[in-house]
Amino acid sequence: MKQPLFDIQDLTVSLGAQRIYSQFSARLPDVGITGIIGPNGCGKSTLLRCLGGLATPENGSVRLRGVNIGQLSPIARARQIAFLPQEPPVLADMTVEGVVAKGRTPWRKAFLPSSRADRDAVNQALETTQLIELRLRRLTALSGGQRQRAWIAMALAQQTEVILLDEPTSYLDLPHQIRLMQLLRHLVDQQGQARRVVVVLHDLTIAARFCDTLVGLSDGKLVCAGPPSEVLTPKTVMQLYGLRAQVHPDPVFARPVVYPEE
Amino acid sequence: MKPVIKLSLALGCLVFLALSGGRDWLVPADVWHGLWSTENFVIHVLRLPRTALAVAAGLALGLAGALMQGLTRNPLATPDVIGLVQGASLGHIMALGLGASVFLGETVGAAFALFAVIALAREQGPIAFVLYGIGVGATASAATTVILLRAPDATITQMMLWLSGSLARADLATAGALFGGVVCAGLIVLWRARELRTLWLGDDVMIGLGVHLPLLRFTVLGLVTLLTAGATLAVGPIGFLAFTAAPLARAVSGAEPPALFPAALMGACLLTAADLAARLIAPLVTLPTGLIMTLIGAPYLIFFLWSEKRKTA
Repeated sequence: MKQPLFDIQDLTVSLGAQRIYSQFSARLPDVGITGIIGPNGCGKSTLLRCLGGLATPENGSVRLRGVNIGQLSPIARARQIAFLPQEPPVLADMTVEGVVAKGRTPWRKAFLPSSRADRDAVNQALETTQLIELRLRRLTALSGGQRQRAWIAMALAQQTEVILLDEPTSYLDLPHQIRLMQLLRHLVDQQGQARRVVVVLHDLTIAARFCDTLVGLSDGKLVCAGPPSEVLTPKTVMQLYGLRAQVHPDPVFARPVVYPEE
Repeated sequence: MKPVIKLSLALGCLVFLALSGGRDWLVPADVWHGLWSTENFVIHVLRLPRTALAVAAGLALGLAGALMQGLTRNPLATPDVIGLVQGASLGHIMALGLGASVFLGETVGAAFALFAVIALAREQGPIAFVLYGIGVGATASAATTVILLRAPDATITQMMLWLSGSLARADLATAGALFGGVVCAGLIVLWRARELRTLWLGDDVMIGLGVHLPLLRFTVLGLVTLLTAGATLAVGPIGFLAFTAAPLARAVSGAEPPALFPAALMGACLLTAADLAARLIAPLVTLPTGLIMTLIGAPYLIFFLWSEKRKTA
């Protein structure tokens, strides 16, 4: 088997007094987009935070291509992994360009102004996310979809191999959800870029359509992992959500769609 | 034009105005010549020390306020609102009574107030932080008054003037020392600019960008404590300056948050202007600069709360 992207071993994590994972092990394959799915409170976000080094596990390790990320310095980690929380806080006078430029944080040098490489990375990120014309706009003046693109541009400016996104499509209407997932697809399919995205998603139809691998979690346990067509079955839907359902391929893309029977 | 340059120019003009203005106005040429001849009494004894001290203290408080607001992501959580200034004052009075170094007393007082607020308001949200801060500040103020009442009359008069935030007895040595401290703080800010630029973005985004949060918190809180203690020692407890400087700097110059240096420059502009106003309004009595600052800042606090309410409504 190819070396996994993330190798999680014996992970034990608590949030406050609540144990979220106990001796959890999983391997995330080295594919473009990995979607993490599961019911509310199953530990999706916590797993993503562990992958990004934001949560400190009590026990166990998370390895990125064999490197234990718990042993990396914050800067070294941030040069390999970008993380975006569900709703980053916004201050009224932040501009798109200003926020995207913060993505350069792990690359900046003390006492020095931003370098040519910094400016290039910011411009490229703005271009990829189609925000060039909006660069001087305030974040609060943007639509939800544009704002989400601005945060993704910040992560792009960070120039990491891995980008972790926590439910980037919630609060977006259907066309914006599709546009955003198309953008993620574009990021990982771009020629000459070995970019990987791990994304927590709620919408199974969206997840099945755009992800290469789906990882299903329920109550801190790994239920399934693999390509959407193999993973999304009536059995796993029952295991994940406790819901009776049929799964049929959609007529347009032939991706699995879940039809609840209840 | 860059925000820092804009505000530096504004500060330069204000300083020149502050040196010209007073009971007697000087023409620009006289100010210029006066600056270079140490015999010029009006410039060198009356106006330069006050103005220099106003600039230094304004820089310190503006920077401290912007740092604190950015770290807590709370526009209300500035050293003057959450009791640091009051803690420093209490430390000052206690150090005087004990015969210890007043700067040490102020630093310990400010650090103690900061620690108390952080420990009390732990994870209870921004409003709790401010309310505890007001409580700690009020306690420190009351304790200061109680101690003062037992002091000799001469000390009381002297301390009452200091407590109202006066620049009347400014001297160049104090201004120079404080300015040195501000420059050191500025160098630390430049050194850590990479991390400090991510203030306001929230813990998760900051960690994701590779910020070592505990180290950054320690740096910011340390700087805020020392800057507040230094400025309070030099000019007394000036209210509302740290609170108004950063948002005003951002509004006027269009600087991106956290706008640390713009906030420092705006703090200096505000205090210089407030001191000039104090001297113009009452040239013969020593009207405290802190009073003028409160007259500007307190209505701004009310306006801020009012506009916040309108935003949520």
